[in-house]
Amino acid sequence: MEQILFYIAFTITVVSAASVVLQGRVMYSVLSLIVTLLGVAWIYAMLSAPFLAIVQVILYAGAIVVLLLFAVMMLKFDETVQRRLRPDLLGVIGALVALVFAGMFVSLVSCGCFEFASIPADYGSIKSIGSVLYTQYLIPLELASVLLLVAVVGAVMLAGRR
Amino acid sequence: MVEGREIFNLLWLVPAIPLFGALFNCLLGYRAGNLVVSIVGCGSIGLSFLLSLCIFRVFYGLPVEDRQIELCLFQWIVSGDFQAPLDLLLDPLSMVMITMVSGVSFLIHVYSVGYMANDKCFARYFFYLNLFVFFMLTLVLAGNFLVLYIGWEGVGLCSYLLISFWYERRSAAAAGLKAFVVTRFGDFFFALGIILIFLQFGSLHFCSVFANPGEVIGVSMATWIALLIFVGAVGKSAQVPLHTWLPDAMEAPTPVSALIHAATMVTAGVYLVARCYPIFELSPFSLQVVAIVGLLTAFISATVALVHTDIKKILAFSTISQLGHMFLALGVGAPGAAIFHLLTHAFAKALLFLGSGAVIHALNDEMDIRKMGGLRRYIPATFFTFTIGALAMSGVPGLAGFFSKDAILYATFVNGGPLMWALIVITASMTGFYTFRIIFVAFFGVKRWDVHLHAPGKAMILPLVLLALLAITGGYMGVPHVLGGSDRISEFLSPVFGNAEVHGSLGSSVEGVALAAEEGGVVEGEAAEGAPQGTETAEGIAGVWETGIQMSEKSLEMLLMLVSAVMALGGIGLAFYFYVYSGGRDVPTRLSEKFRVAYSIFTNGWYFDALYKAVFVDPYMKLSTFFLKAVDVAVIDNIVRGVAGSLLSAGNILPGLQLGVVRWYATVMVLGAIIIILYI
Amino acid sequence: MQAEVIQSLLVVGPSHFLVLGATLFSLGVLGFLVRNNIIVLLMCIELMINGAGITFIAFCRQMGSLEGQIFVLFVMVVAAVEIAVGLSIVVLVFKNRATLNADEMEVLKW
Repeated sequence: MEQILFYIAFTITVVSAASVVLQGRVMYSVLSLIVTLLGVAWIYAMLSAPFLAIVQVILYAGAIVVLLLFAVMMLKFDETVQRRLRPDLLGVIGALVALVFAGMFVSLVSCGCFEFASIPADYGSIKSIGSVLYTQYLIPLELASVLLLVAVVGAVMLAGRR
Repeated sequence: MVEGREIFNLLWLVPAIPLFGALFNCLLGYRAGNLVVSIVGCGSIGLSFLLSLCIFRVFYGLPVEDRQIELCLFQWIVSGDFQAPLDLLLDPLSMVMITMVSGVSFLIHVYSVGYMANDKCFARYFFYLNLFVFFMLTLVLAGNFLVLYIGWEGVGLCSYLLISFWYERRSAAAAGLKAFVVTRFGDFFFALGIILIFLQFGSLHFCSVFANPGEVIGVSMATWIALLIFVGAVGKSAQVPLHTWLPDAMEAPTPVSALIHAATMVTAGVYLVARCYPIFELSPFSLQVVAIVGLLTAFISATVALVHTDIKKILAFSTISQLGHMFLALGVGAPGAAIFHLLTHAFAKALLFLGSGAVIHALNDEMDIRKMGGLRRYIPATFFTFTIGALAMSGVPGLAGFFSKDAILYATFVNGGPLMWALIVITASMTGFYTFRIIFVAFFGVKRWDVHLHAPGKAMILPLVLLALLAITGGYMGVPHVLGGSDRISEFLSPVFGNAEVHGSLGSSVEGVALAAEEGGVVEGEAAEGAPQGTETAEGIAGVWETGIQMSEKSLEMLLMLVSAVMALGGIGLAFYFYVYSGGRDVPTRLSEKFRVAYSIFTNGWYFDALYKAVFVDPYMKLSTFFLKAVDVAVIDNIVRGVAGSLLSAGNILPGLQLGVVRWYATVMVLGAIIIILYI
Repeated sequence: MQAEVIQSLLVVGPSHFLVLGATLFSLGVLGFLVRNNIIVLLMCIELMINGAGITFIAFCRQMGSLEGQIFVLFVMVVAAVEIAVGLSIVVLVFKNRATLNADEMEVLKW
């Protein structure tokens, strides 16, 4: 059962990620990205991180992708120019390099020498994450909120300039 | 006001207040206006002076064995075994010094307000001056060698800045540079000495270094350390052969000369040797060197002062000469007398300099005494105070200089032998001659000037009067026992120079010497095995024993005192005869023609400057020119051009890799990642 | 031999998730190197971030600690920030240059 679920999630994620990369139209890429992100959320859930899975759905698949969609829809750029992947020299070199990288990277981690540790029952629950997050990682959390504030101000400054 | 021991926790404020004043004058001085600057400048020093007086009162009330207070402000550098806390040490020696430094500085600050009133760089002046006081107080309060070195370099820097204060004048800038370079020469050796101390003792802390130096280092190592430190002191205190910067330093504004180049900074060398006295004591050879250098300096510079015509330079050479006295005192084992003379000299010389400043100010920056004359009737207050300073300086009985100089002469006679004593007595009579030469030439006789006279204002007169009072009374803190006094200053200082009685320090134990001389033979044996310099000491004591066997010690001391007083008065009398009484006969000119060689040696300052120019400056210039032509142009320039050229051509190739396209950069980055993975 | 391979494919362990993360990351890299639309480039960065996130979670699951999850949370925050600022830059660039082609933006070349 677990294997079946994993392989379904694996297939969905990888295919949709490939679609993000290979789709000609930007809009299709964004829609594929939503699927990829939902697949990743599924994987998180399988790895006993339910809280992260929820956050992934809300924050990523919700907020970030909506931002991307807004940008794609509001910028009236000429899609015909960039519709197709043009096999220019740089692109070919880049593809080769990326494939070599992918092969090496995947083979590096697929040695099968890892075992899952046994975990307590409430592992990854909101309560356990919260207790760590608000005690040990309180200062980084506050700094992250400051970072978000700065980003909001920065984004308004950049895009809102006349 | 804080009472009791708590006040010592405020010790750090003593140097800190002048620092705040300096920062204020530096940052806000130009906007604040002269009034605020002078209030802040004088006020900060005044506060610091008051505080040190309060500390002194409490300190004096402590039992003698408690009179050593350490205050660690914070750890500055900690690296392995090496620790350099910023700590302060208050013992009788530094107590005396901070009181003197802050007090004299305060008076000179007040005087400066009047003297510098019309200068456009008023705030800069007070910034430097406050900064100087800060560094000087740091120097004397330092609890370890590193902090002392900070103060040491700091006062050197301020001295440089103040000598070159009127930097538009080329001679002033050059003089500042000279002072800096010459004192740096000494500082270099001082730094070496500090390093050597750290290597030997593993610590720079005064208390741990001086606690028992004899157990850690041998005599030869002590000699090395002592000599290195002494070279530093020679540079700072302008002793032969590094004295040449001090006369040139008179380019500074006169109050600066009074403060830095007479009363405080130049005495730092004396302070340093006194502070390191436990090390010097281990090595009789180094003490001999100190004594001989001091003696030579005292004599040579006194002879130069006899013939100079620039009022400030006469005083400068006189300062050098008096510093020589102090080193002589240190060398013959009377550090208490040296510090005592340091104090009385500070009062008298500050007074003389400020008085000469008033004269110079009055005569529109005229410094040649031959162009003065008859000033007695025009600026009487200055005349009287100047005369008091001169009397104190030349050692007329009853005034400050007499007691301290007499203490030095006596110690020289006891420990240095009759020859040294004779030379220093002659020097003492020359002191009387040249100081009164100024008075008789500048203040008496006919008027030889025709400028509009600026009478000195209240701000200038008041410090003069106060200093004159100090110059009169300052000696009474050290009236020797034979005159019915109790010699309080030496007693006060004696804990610092703890085992000074081994070689019969006059200050700490006059009776001890007397006793030793009476039982000379016995002591000789004891001292020989008791201390490293035992034989030396015993010889000195034996010498006294031989000459003084018939008369008791007291009458010997009285006799010596009488001789020195007579010599001083004789010098004054000679000056009177030469410049006033002789009238038209013009004795000095005829004398100078008769002894032309000696005269030209004296006027040229024993040719030290010419010697240095021939030995150091000229070869250096030639070498520089050679290197400029042969090495710099031919070799280095070509190397530099070659490097630059190859870089340029490389720079023409590399931009080809910069496509400016993000994807290309990313590709290269991923290639780098691949290489890293391969490496793993 | 063959049975072992099948066994290792059937029993889902950390390596499986690591391979997924690596694949996702490599796809992101591929897209970044091949595509030239800035918005797509941003999305490829998101793919890489998610691949890294999966790796994080897989390893922290393997070690039985919670730190990895916390880190992924912070990574999400940073990703959100990055998208917000990045998109506003994209908007600005589009206003000035009327193009989204990354290859045409080479004014920083010296």
